Amino acid sequence: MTRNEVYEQLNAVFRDVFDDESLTVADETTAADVEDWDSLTHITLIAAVEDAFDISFDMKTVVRLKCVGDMVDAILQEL
Amino acid sequence: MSFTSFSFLCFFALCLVGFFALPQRLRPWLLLAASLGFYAAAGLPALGWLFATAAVSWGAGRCVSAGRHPGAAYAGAVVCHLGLLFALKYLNFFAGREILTLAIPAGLSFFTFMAVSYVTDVRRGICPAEKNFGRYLLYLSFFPHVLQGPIDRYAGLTPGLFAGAGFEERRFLRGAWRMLWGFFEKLVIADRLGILVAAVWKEPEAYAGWRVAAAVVCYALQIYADFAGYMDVALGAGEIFGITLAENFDTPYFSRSVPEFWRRWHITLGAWFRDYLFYPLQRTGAFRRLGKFLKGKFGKQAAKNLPAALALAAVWLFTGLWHGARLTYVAWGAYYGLLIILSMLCEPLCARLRPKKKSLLFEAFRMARTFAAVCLGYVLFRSASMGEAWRVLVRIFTAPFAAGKGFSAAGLGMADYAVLAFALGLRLLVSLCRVKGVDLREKLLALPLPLRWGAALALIFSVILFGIYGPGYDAASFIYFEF
Repeated sequence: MTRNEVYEQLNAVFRDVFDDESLTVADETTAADVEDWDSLTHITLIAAVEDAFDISFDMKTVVRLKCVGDMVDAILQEL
Repeated sequence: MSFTSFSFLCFFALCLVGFFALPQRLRPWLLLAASLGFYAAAGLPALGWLFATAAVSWGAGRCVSAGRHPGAAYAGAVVCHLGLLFALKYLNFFAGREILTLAIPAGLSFFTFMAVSYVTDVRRGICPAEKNFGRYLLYLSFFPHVLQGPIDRYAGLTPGLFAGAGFEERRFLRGAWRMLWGFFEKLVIADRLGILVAAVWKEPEAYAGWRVAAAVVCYALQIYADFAGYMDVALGAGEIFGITLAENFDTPYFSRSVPEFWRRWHITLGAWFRDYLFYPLQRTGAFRRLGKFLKGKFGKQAAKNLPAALALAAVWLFTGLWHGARLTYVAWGAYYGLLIILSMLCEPLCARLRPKKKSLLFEAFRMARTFAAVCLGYVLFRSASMGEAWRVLVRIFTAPFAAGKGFSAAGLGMADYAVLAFALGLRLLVSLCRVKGVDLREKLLALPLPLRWGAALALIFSVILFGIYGPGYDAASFIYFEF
């Protein structure tokens, strides 16, 4: 899967989790850029990403994700 | 040895001279010797517990990293640390009678949490295991954070801790300003407010309800000046040595919601519970299965909210207990747990009701509402028993304008109120600068030399002249010292 293909699927997950059809994320997007992305929704988002890509993140990844770019790197590593 | 004691100032001055006089590679070892000496002042048995905690987590870290029964070593260390914390701090409370008569080591809750964070981070592959026991002992016992935090993470603290940075004038001055400001907050603001708060809490029935409510607000300002003041001394001391400790406060009383307040108040404790309890709990098989079941039956909101609410209930039960074995702390934790769960559940509705255009008035209302909710929590937090908290609440809500004593009977004179008005005004100004992103210390350092010295001397003499000192010129203990 290419990085662009990951983004295509990832944007759909973000839109579903945050209920915002206009949401588009990029490498540099952080929790501060997305309304409602706090520690409560973080776990929901992680679980939704895991389901969508059929992968499982370890706790290091869950705790240390700083931006969407990190998340995409982690997804590509797991695939 | 309290930060606000004369002996600490002598100790710190000696540390500074020794640190910068020694060659770079020896500086961390001086800090270790100084930290152990500092902690030994709390009693030798306490030092024994600190050593034992360090030995267990360091040993477990080595086993995990070497792949020698990593699961068992990790679980054993966590059980040991939390078991010791439970036995020393909570056993008598849960048993309802005195089973253990051992004194609780100073800072136990703080260094235990640091030890658990270290061994967990090694297990998660976030930081490497420390090979040298002395270096690890320094991380745990470092004197600015061992008694009251911040609850530093090993990966964040250690680059500076082991660097043995040389003297740098700008860094020294920035650190010294921060320490001085911390002393001002503690001695001039917190301990002065503490006199009024203690007097009103002792006999709330003697004051009109509105005065009791004002005392609760004073307690909110007292505990902030007390704890943030301690942090300013700790972080300033670290900065002088070239060591960056984690920030614990971010102007919390400007928060617009209770969850936001807890992201800005005692930040390192909240982050600890998030990373080592809230996230792992939600990642367990049971929670995931519950989420999937709820999503299928009731939709994605239920799948998100119910597991989060359960995990939050656990986090807030433990956050309350962490502060001490007292029913009022448990009730205080339950109060916040309830508020945060309710605010999570109501957020979609509130978001729709909020004005689309940003309004200053509405933002101010949200801040005032959050501050009021926090103050209500402080009634529980400050009270030694549920009965005491009840007396305070009853007085506020049933006799708001009853006749009673004036504030002049609360242990402070007119001059004290004038000092408080000025000091709190200054505190507000510093907070506003922080909110606006103005680096006040840089501004001070950029002033011409006479002005800079004038400001420094004014602050020093304010602390000396207007600080509240007890017998022997030792100030009252810090509030968080008892946790």
